[in-house]
Order: sequence, then structure tokens, then C-alpha cells
Amino acid sequence: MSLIACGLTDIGTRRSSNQDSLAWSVSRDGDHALAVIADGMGGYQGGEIASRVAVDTLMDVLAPVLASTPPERVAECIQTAIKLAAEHLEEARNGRPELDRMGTTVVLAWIQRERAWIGHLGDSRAYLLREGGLSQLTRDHTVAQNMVDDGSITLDEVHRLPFRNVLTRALGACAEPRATVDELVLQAGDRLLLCSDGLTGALPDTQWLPLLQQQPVLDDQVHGLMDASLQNRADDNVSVVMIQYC
Amino acid sequence: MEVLHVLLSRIFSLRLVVVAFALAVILAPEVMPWLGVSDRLVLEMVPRVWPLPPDVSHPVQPVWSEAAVELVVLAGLAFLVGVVPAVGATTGVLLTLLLAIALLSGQVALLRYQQIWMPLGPALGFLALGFCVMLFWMQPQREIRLLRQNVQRARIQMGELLLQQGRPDEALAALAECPCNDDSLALQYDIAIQQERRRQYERAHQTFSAILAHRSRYRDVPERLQALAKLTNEGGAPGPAGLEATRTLVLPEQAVSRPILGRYEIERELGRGAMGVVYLGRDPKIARTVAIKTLSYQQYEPSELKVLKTRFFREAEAAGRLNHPAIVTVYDVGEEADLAFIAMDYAPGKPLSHHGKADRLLPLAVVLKLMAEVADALAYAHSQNIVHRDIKPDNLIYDAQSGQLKITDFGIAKITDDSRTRTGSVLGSPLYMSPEQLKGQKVTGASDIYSLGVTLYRLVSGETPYTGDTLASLTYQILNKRPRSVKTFNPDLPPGVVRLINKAIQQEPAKRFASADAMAEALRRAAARLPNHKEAAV
Repeated sequence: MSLIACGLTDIGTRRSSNQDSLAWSVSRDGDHALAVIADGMGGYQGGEIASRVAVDTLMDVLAPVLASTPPERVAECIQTAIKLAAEHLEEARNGRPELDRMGTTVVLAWIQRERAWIGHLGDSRAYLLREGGLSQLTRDHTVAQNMVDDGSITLDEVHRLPFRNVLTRALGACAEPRATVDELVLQAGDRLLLCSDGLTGALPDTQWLPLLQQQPVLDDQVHGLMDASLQNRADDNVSVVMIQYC
Repeated sequence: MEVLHVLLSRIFSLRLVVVAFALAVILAPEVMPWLGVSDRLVLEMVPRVWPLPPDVSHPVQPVWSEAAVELVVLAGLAFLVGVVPAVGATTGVLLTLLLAIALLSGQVALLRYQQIWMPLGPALGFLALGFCVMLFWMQPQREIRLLRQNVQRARIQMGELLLQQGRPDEALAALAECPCNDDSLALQYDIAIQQERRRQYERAHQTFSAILAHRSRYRDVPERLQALAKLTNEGGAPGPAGLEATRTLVLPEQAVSRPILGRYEIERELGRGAMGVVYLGRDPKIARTVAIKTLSYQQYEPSELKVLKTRFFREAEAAGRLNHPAIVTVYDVGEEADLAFIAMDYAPGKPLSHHGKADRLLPLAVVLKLMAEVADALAYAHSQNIVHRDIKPDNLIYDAQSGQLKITDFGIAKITDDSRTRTGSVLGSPLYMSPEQLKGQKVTGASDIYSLGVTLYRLVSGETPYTGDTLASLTYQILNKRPRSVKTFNPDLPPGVVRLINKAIQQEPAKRFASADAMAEALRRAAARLPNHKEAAV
């Protein structure tokens, strides 16, 4: 069994800067993989810096210990890295008032053979593709998601909300950032998909399966999603990373 | 290159021919014997007309006569080249004629009474011929001069017009080729002042410097330059400085003109709202004081800006149609390169949020009276199909001295609604928002009634029906929980007022007051039932 990964990011059709950052790494033996997407916010400059700092810190801290961390300590390890990333963000902000409002979402996947951990803050998402079906693994940390969950509104009403873009959790925006970390066991043929809200915004997840089924190669699947979202005139930055377990 | 050009145009001019002619008369008079024709006439005629007495010796030519004639030729040259072009053709003819007559009379007089012979013939000939040559030069020269003046006048007029239209850079371009004179300098000065006001401090600096290059001391230019240099060094000039610096207009010191937005002079900063900075401004034409709310473009992505601007102007214009004593009048909307603005009536006083704490509450009778006024104004706005959407104590300006109350920010809430900002604090708190508004449903007059109910709750208790540390928890409570009873915070509140508040803040819009009018009526009834309402009403 081994892991392969592929990722892409694009500025989209209307933004003047790409505030998304992403990175992934697969161990040489194909047994371990790590992927991160961060979607920055707080002005053009702030957004770019925040997502970059978050992805760099997470990769620097987690990639070296990917294979050596015992499974029972993975979640804790992810939280420590998130905390460190928040500290780095704070340092980057120091003495630069224009970066006051910067922050970033994070979604990451940590895979050790068949065991996978998904950590996230904010509205960047992780999905699982298994046996021809698609399921969302993360629950957005947004006011809108809370309102859907408590039954105040339905999913269809989200786009009308005045606070629809407001996150309840983000890196750099709250004092004690904690990621939600979930664990799952992968089966042969499973694919994990991480994405920023630019993808879901331009291309609803209901449209993904037909697109993905057309392409047998992982690389082409990622490109297919990206191309379709750009054809839909994605107005936000779009980022996707896919990891296949086979 | 320019020096060469000037030199060539000077050399190849008819004036140079006159100079060469003068030199020829002085250096080689023998080549032009015909120039002495007047001398021969004088020598022949004078003895005939006035025969000399026999005892008088024959006239003699002194040794210095040649030098004197040369001097006269040089003086004639100076006259032709220097004086004649300045006085014009007609006066030139008269003067030349007078000069010739004077020379001739002098010559005759010297001969007759002093027996001195001065051969002034070549000088006279030079004067006559030289003057003819100058006439050829002066005519086209005069036309050129008139044309040049004409162009200069036209360019200055064009510059003035462009400046009046608020296009100082184009006005400056119109002046670029224009020779400098008093009018052009005055216009350049006005342009620099307008550049200052539009906060184009570096350009103003350049324009002032250009004035000084022509005249080292022009009005107060040196002082202004100094103040501008200081201002730009401080980093106050708009440009790629920090975000905060560009978000607010720098209000410069006295020596630099106050900035203008549209036709309004900015006096000082009044405060900062969700949209941008609010300034106190003045319309100099009618001496009206206005509050100017600005929407700074800096904080938005260029792609969002177009939609945002359209909505900004549409909303502001809709609000501009409202005309009610308790609603702040919108006079004007406008746009500058980096911001859009709304100029509205400046309402003196303080926002009612000032009285939103338990220890600073206004007397109940006053609160009820004020809320009834707000409800009246809302009823009027709703009848015009305009919903405020953001009624809260901050948006109600109360002047304790005159007792007058004004609602501000009509329509503006809608503009910031859709902001892509992801942090709740920037948008302000939804403490006063109705459930349907939070859910993004259609906002009607009933939402304003709900918000006015929460406002009343706050003004009589210092609290709000719901609290929450975060936007998420507050939203959850407003949508799903029962409000905290206002009686908990103000046990003395008359039951009528408690019922009134509860009715206004019902979750279901249909269960609230049917209209703002009905709420106003209920507020007045509640005020009338207060034990000491008569004193309060006075």
C-alpha cells in the first residue's frame, strides 16, 4: 500500500492576490503523508503573510516527526504545531499595524499508512472519496454553520446571511486557537481532498463526483476540479490537495 | 540648444541689418557718398537764404566733428533698435521725424551762428533708411506679439476653466508652454492650492517650486513649501504608506490648505464608523456645516469595489430623499480617487449610547418621548419604502440642550452588510439586530421596530436582552433563546413599558407592533401614564 498526493492553487478570476497557501509531502516509502491548506484573511498583504506563515510552520514542525510520532500522540502534536503557528503569526504582526487583522484558516491531513488524522480551523474543508461516494469530514467553524446546526436556517439560506463570512475559529484571530482533530481509518482506493472555500464557492461539492469519475489519474482529477471552478469564474482563490491511498 | 535657438533668432533679424548699416556708415562712409546728399543741400541753401555778413569768417569743420557724427549715428542706432520697437510704428514715425528735424535745425544753426560745419548728412540718411527697414520688421513682429498674447490669454483662461472643473493637473498642462507672467503665476498658485486640498502634496510641492523658479518671493509660497516638505517627510502624504495612514485624511498644519472632499472643506475628524472615518466639514459657498462619512476604498479588493460603490451611491441617494425633522438630511454624495463620501447635516449632541449605562440613564419620561420621536420618523421612512436596518443608540444623536433628536446613517448599514470581512468585531455587534435580519431574510419595517425595542430596553436598563462573548453565541441566543426580562435590571419600570418592550422584541415579526406609528402611539400612551408625566413633558 502506498500514498500519492497532488495539489494546485490558483488566484481565481477576480482577486488581485492569492491569499491561499498549500504544501504537501509524502515520505519516500509512500507510507506517510502530510498536506496543509491555509486561506489567509485581513487585507491583501495580511492574508498572504498569514497563510504562508501557517503553512511553513506546520510543515517545518510536523514533517520531520511524521513517521516517528506514535498514533496516540498525533492529535496533541497537531495542536502544538497550531499553537506554534499562532505564535509565529503574532511575531510577524509585531510592529506592523496594517497586519492587525490578519489571520488564516487551516486544514491539514496527517496520514500514517491506513490511519489518517484531519485537523482544521475555519472554513477550509476536508472530504473523503470512498467507493464512489463523497463525504465531508470537517464541519466549518463559521457562524453560518452554527445556525444551520441549531436549525435556525437551512443550508440554502446561508448565502443570504449578513455574517456568512464570519469564522468562529481561525489561526491568529483568537487567543487560544485549537484545531478540531478527527481520526479515520483509510481503505484501499480512498482519496482525501483538502480545499479552501474558493473551490466550494465556485463549484458546489454536489458537482464533483461526475468530474472526478472522468479521470483515472489523481493529477488529472485535481486539474479537472480546478479548471471547472475557474470556468465558473471563481471569485475567490482556489486551492485543492488530493491524497490517494492505494 | 535653447541658447542657440535664441541666439539664431536674434542674429537673423532685421534689427541686425540696421546694426550692420550703422557700422558701415561709421567705418566706411566713402562707400555711400549718396548719404551726404542733405549736407550738400544745406551747404548750398543756407548761404543763399541767410547770406553771411562780410566780416564773418568762413565756416570751419572742427576736428572732432567726425567723432560727433559717429556718436550721433550710434545714438540713432540705439533709438531705432531700442526705442522704436517699444513705441510702435506711429509714434516711431513722429519721433524719427522730430529727431531728423532737430538734427537738421542744429546743423543749420551751428553753421549760421557759430560758423561750425557738422557733416550730419550720413547720420540723417542712416536714420531715414534705418527707420524704413525697422518698419518692415515691426509689422510682422507686432502680429506675432499679438498672437502670442492671445495664446497666452487663451491658455490661462483654459487653465482657469480646468481648475474650476477640478482638474488641476490638466490646468497645469495647459500652462506648461505659456510664457510666464503675473496672470499665469497667479493661476499656477491657485492650482497648487487646489492640489494641496486634494491631498496631492507632492504635486503641490512641485507646482510651488515651479513658481519660485520664476519669482523668488511670490506671496506665501516659501512658507507653504516649507510646511509641505514637513508634511511629506512625516509620511502624511497619501501613497503606499501604512494602511492606517491612507485610511484617514491627514489634517495638516495652518500653512497648508485644508483638504477638500468634493466641495467641502474638512475641518476635523469627528470619529470612526464601520465604513470609514467621519469628518466635520464645511460648505464654503453657503457656510453650512456638514458631517462627512467616508468609505475608504483601501480596505476592499478592487474586484469588490465596483459593486460596493454602486450600492453605496444608490443607498445614499435613497436616503437623500428622506426629509424629516428627526432624520439627518443627506445633502450630497461624491467620490475622490481613494474614497466615496456622503455629506449630511451635522447634528450637534451626543449619541444616545452615551446614556446606555446603568449609572447614566436618562429619565424614563425623556427616553419614552425620544423613542416616540424615533418611531414617528421611522414610520415616515417606512412610508417611503426605506428601512433603516441599523437602529441602535449609536445612531440616535441627542442634543440635551435643545432636546432635539436625529436619526443618522439611513441606508448605510446595508452597504457594510455584505462585507467580506471575517472578523465579527469589525462589522459591529448584532446586539440590536432582529432575528430575521441575522438570518439574512427580507428586512422590513418590523426589523426597525425590533431594533428600536432593544434600544429602548438598553436606555431604560443599561443592558440588552441578549449577551454573548462572541458573534456565534450572541447569534445563537437571539435566534433561539428567550430574552432576559428587562424587569430584572430595572424593577421600578412600569408594567406598561415592560409590555411595550416585550411586544417590540418578539421573535416573530407578525407579533410585534403592526407599524412604527402604532409603536409611537404606544410609547406616548406609556409616557402619559407616568405619575409625573406633566412635569416631564414641560
